[in-house]
Amino acid sequence: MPDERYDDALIAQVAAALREPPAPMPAARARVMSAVRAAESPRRQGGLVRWLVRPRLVRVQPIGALAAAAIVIAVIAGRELRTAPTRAPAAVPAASAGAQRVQFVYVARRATSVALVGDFNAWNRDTTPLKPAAAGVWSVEVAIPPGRHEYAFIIDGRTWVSDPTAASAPADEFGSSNSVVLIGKGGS
Amino acid sequence: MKRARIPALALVALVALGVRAGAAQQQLDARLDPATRAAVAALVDSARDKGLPAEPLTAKALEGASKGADGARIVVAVRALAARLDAARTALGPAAAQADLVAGAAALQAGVQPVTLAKMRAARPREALAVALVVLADIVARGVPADTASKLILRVANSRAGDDAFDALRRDVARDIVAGAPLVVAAAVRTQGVVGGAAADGPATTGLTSSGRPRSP
Repeated sequence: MPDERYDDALIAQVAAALREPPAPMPAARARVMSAVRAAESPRRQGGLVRWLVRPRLVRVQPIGALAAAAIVIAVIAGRELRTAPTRAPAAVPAASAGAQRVQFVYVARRATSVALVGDFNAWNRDTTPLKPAAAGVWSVEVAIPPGRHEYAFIIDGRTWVSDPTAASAPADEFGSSNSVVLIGKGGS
Repeated sequence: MKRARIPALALVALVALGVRAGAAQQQLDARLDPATRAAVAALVDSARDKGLPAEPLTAKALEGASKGADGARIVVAVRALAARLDAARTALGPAAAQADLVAGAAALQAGVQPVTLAKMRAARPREALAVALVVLADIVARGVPADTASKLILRVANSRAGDDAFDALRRDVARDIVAGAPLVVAAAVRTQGVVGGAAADGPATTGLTSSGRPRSP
């Protein structure tokens, strides 16, 4: 298997070359923390941070679970991009069999409306508006059945954006990209 | 009592599926023009006859309608998705869960080859692959070449790593890319970290030939 040998060699080379340089995390963390400090006034920061880091029971499977950790990064991205979404999966069992209630959060300081669209709501832009909270944080909780689902946010009724904290779906045939959420063990 | 509950649960599930299917049909009726609706319905029926899931196809049509695509574009997208679902099922096997099929179809759309899906199935014949396939498609969507990402994900699949490891890989690669690391380097190094010492035991094999067919014993 020449390809596998080549890959092993390439990976070993790359790993060796990057063994010495500092890990990328400190830079990312510094960027995140800097943006967090810049994003909020001292008075509001405590409340928002407490709200963001409040412990939540998460049952959404791995892809969804990462959102809890990524939420801080998403807040930063929101500061940098003006509109950047975050999603915090929650663990409330929904009424229908196997469904989970998932909390979607989006930070859009200048938005006048944010809507959630996805295959779980028939891509209907009118049925799942996010509600504004403090400091441009919009959120909504939705019951989602087991499986792999694609979704996006619509800002101010016209701008479609994916969730940078979630897994990306391939670019679709309609000119925009969606995000992915998996519900249930292996999504099924 | 247990015997009575199982059919009751099955009935509830069937009713729920029926309600969802009916709601989807209503949405199609309301949001697609008659010609597009008829074309989509034909594609959905054809897929259903093949045993493919219909929900992703109706969802794709509704997505197109919501995004303002014209009817022709919607039909092309639905037809392409049906083909990808069919190819994913061929690669993943007839018993593949719907989530695996949909995730596999998305990976194919991203540029992953069917043989990669088959190798992943061979590596994990009884496990759900949706998480691994979502991570694979995500890494490709972030710019890592599909063949490189496929080989890296296969290395993880051939290790004993669980879904959490795939998720951690996705998270770490995304973090590294945001921090400025080159795409392929980020993916390769993080994969090496997940696989860890497995490489020291020699290259893992998937039990498949390069064409995706099982090797002879």
